[in-house]
Order: sequence, then C-alpha cells, then structure tokens
Amino acid sequence: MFVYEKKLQYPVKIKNTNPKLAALIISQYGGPDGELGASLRYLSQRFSMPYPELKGLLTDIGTEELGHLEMIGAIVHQLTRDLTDEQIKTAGFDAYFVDHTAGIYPTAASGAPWNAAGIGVKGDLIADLTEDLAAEQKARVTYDNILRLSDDPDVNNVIKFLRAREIVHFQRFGEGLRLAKDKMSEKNIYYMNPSFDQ
Amino acid sequence: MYNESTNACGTMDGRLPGKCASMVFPYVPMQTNNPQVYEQTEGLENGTLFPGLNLPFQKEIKARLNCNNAPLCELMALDFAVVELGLYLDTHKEDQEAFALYQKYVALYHEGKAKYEKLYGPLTQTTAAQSSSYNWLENPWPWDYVGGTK
Repeated sequence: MFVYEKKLQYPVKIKNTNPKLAALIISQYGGPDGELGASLRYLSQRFSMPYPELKGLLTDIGTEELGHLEMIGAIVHQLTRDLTDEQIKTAGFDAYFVDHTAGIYPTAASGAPWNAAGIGVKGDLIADLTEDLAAEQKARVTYDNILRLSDDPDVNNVIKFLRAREIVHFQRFGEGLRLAKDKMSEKNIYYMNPSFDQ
Repeated sequence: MYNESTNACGTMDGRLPGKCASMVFPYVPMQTNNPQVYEQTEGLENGTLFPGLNLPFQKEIKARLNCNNAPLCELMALDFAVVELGLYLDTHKEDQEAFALYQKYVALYHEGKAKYEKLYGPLTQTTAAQSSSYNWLENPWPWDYVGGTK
C-alpha cells in the first residue's frame, strides 16, 4: 500500500506565471516519457520480477516517480497561477485552457492524452529492464530539452534535480540487470525466461 | 573468458574495457562499494548523493536549491539521503558501510520529522492524532505557493 507524505521530494517555488512554459512541462506529467508512465511502468513490471533485488528496485523507483509526478504537477500549477485574460488568449496556453482550464491533466505537450501505449510491460526481466534503461534516457533528454526552452531559474532548479534522478535510476537499472544476469544460465541468458519458466 | 596468450575473448564473449564479457547483453558497471557521498543538503541540491553520478547538463550550471523554509528543506535533504541510499542498497545489499550510513540517515529523518510535525503540523495523516484537533487539512499543501515568502 501507499502512505502519503505531505511534502514534495524537492522544493517547488515558482514566482512568475508562465503559461507557455506550463504547456510544455505538462509533457512530463502525462507525455510518453513522463513521470506518470515511469511510475506505472515500474510499479506494474515488478509483479513478474523473479528476484528480490528487482522487486525492491522497481517498487522503490516506481514510488519515487510518483513523487516526481507530484513535483511536475506543482510546477504546472504554479506556472498557471492567476492567469490574466490576455495570458489565456496569447501565451500559447489557449488549446490546453479550453479543455482543462488551469487544472492538471495528464497529456503530452503535443496534445495526445496519457496513453499506456507509451510504456511496456513484457513479463521478461531482460526486456523490461532494458526498456527501463531506455525510458530513463528518454526522460533525461526531455528534461534537457526543457532546460533548453526555459529561462526561469525557479523552474530550472527543479528540472535539473529531476534530470539528475534519471541518471541515477539508469545506473540502478543497469546494476539490477547485472545482478539478474549472475543468477541466470551462464552459457545462455536467453535459455529461458526466469520471470515465467520455473 | 579472456585468454592471456592469444589476447582474445572466448566465442561467446566480446571485449569490455580491460576484460571480456558475454555478448548480447548491455553493461552498466556496478558502482563500487562504500562510494564517496555528499552531505545531505548538497546531495539534494545536486539530485544525487553520489559525486560519481553527478553529470549535469551544459545549459544549467547556475541553478541552486530554492529554499525559503529551512526546517522543511533540512528534512527534505535527510529524506533524500534515505531514498538515494535505499536505491543504492537495493543493488548493493552487502555494503555494510552504506547500510550504516542508511541507518544513521533514517534515524535522523525520524527524529527530524517528529520535531517538524510538532512545529508545523502533520506530514502523514496519522500524526494528526497527536494534535488536540484534526489538523491534517490545514494549508499549505505541498503544491501551494503564492509567491513571496509563503
């Protein structure tokens, strides 16, 4: 089960409203490489993991990603605080506004709503952990791109933190794959699927 | 398997820097045991407790932890060290030094959380039971920020 802690993992304090930037950052809430997908990917993959290290790692990283989802929601919420009529019409936020006002909705910046097609659960530890390595890199690149697009240090502080987490998670998933390999057939790691075959 | 005399890897192996390893398998080196760590606030600021995993992007070198609530940030830093060491231990459960550090940070976090909650209200819903009234609902919630020092 999950218990909520009434705090963010890292402080989000954004002074200036910027709906245009909010309309881009929402992608890390509900886009293809966003935190919602990350969390559901890991928390779902863990059920078929055969080794305790991998059950733990996917549980713990999946849980941290839920905290990141909350941070992204806080960024978008604060960037759309007290919008003026003029900002709604001209700041590149109108398409989002017409559907969601200033609510936080899981969607990609390009407009596609969150979709499980963007995540993979294959039920095979090599396939799943290799997907996770790629997922962390894709999220890292999205954060790089946000840093290229944003000039607001209040936002970039948080994005920088989240980007660093992607790199750490990549390392841990790589280590998880290594630990798993040591428990698999030395001659042929593809001989069977330890997530399924007994 | 590496053969010293022929300077070659076995049929099933490919070459990694310094040694041989199975082909068709991606390799991320294991972080070595008892790695160097930042103190917790620097860790939170950098997004990792480990200098070896701190690889920033060129665009953002000046950004710094934006903290105007010192007690909360101190608690976040302790919690961050706990989370980071927890992930490390998931793949390094035999590292006793790291486990000792984890024990230390978990103890500091619990102590800090209890102190914080006495002054500023509950961080977990059940802590409201220690108050004279149900104070779980009180603002601010974590995403609330209206500018200024609030």
